[in-house]
Amino acid sequence: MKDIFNISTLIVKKKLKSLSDSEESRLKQLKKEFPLSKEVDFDAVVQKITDYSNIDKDKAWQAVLKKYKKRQTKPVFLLTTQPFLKYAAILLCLLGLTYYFVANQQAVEVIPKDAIVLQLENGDSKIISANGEEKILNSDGELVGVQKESELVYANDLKSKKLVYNELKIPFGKTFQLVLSDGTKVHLNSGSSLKFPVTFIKGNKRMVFLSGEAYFEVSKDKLHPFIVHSNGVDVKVLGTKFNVSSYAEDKDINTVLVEGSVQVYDRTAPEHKSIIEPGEKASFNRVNKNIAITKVDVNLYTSWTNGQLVFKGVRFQDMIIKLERAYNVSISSNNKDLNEEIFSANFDLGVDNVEDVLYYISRSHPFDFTRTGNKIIINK
Amino acid sequence: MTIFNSNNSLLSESDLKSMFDLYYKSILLYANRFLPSKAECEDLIQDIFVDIWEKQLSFPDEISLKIYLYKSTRNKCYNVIKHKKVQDNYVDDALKSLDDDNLFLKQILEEEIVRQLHQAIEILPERKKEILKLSLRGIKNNEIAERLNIKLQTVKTLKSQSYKILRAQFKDIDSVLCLFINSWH
Repeated sequence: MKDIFNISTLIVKKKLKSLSDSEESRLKQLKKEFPLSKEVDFDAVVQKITDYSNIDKDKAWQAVLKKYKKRQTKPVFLLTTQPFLKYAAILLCLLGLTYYFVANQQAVEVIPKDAIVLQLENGDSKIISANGEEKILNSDGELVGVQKESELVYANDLKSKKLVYNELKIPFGKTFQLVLSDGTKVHLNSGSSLKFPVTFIKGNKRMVFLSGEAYFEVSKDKLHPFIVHSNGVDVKVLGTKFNVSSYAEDKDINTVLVEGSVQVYDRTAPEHKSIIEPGEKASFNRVNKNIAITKVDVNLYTSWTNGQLVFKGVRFQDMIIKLERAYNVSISSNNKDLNEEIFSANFDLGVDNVEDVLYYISRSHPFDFTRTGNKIIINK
Repeated sequence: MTIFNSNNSLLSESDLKSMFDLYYKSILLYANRFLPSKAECEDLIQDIFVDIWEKQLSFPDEISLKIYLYKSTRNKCYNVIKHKKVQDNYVDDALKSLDDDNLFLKQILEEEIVRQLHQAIEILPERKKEILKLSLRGIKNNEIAERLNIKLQTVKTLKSQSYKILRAQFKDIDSVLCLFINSWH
């Protein structure tokens, strides 16, 4: 096996015209012993030399350092068999706890970008941890909601009858479920926020404010219409299932109806309402303010609630926008052919990471990409 | 040259870093032959270096280090693919290829050629590098001239200049190696 490494050096020198006579005969002899060394594909070799420049070695080294440190911190607890180290360990724990509390206090003031945040009626912000539990109180100290993992449920039997709002903000890369005080279920997609009354008031319409994308399952209540306000469009329903997508960077605001019936109208012209039926999509064009209604495959618009990423006949440059939101990355592509290419594909957010997704796409339309932190750059 | 860590001192961060600098890219691309996800490969290769550091592995010479790196990459890839939930044709092919000892030798021969060529021609200016890469793929001088839109004579001149630079470089490496081996014993 050791000879392989001698052959490789000699072949490299031969290719670069730097072989001495004695080395030449040594190579000949070795090639006889290892006939496979004659089959080296130099097209592939040169391709790989080019690939070398796309590998981010510094980032990888940082990852090695991090992993090593992480492994080094684990064995502390094993040392407790030695009496002296017991006290050292206790001291370390105390220091750790102090750090934990100090760090937590600071966290209240500095909200990380990738946190789910609930803004309370008094304007305070609360960070919601998707694997924790939290009780939400109003300013009178009354329990208004309980959060468990990725769901927040509001109480339906509050004594307080004031109209006050909470607002839930979901960062890119995360989704969240909400049950409002009337039992309406809202599934919020990444990069979205919803402002809603802590409790709905009898005799008033049920009004919520959406930016981004959400799937609603509205509880039936004929006396109290449910209205989703979103960037100039209102969607009015009595009780039904539908999806509203209204990201600021999208041209259209889309409402897709799964069940029941909804009205969609421009807020400035509520008398021109469009009524859509299950299986239909109403697209409100932000520029010319027209509403167009088309028949669609509902599944395409709601599968995200199950962690699926479904594309059907979508241009690559439009796929990128969805991938960016779902994975909290920024993707830039200067590959013009690719951007216009149309793809159909299914991915599972729980299984496929963004590199996997790009890799699968590159199998049908070859391209290279590099990732540095949260930035992905696609080349030819 | 401290990367072999033959004396009994601890393997330091800088020792590991020099191993990493030399071999990270080549074993990453070797793993990428079997595992299509770059992210998965990166993770796996980084673990190999963390293992060396944590276990304070020492290698008597550079070839033993190379053999260790390629072999442990091969084993890790094998285990990862073996435990993939979806078994398709692709997985079968990868396992077959990983199982074949002759293929293994051929693959590391190729990776080593890539690594050493890359290292050797890196000192050349961009244009010379470009010409040499085309020439390595067996493309004739007149076609290189056509492709790069330069005169045939320029291609010949740049090529012979490149070889001169490379020969001088190899001479340096050889004499360093001689010195090194002499001081070793």
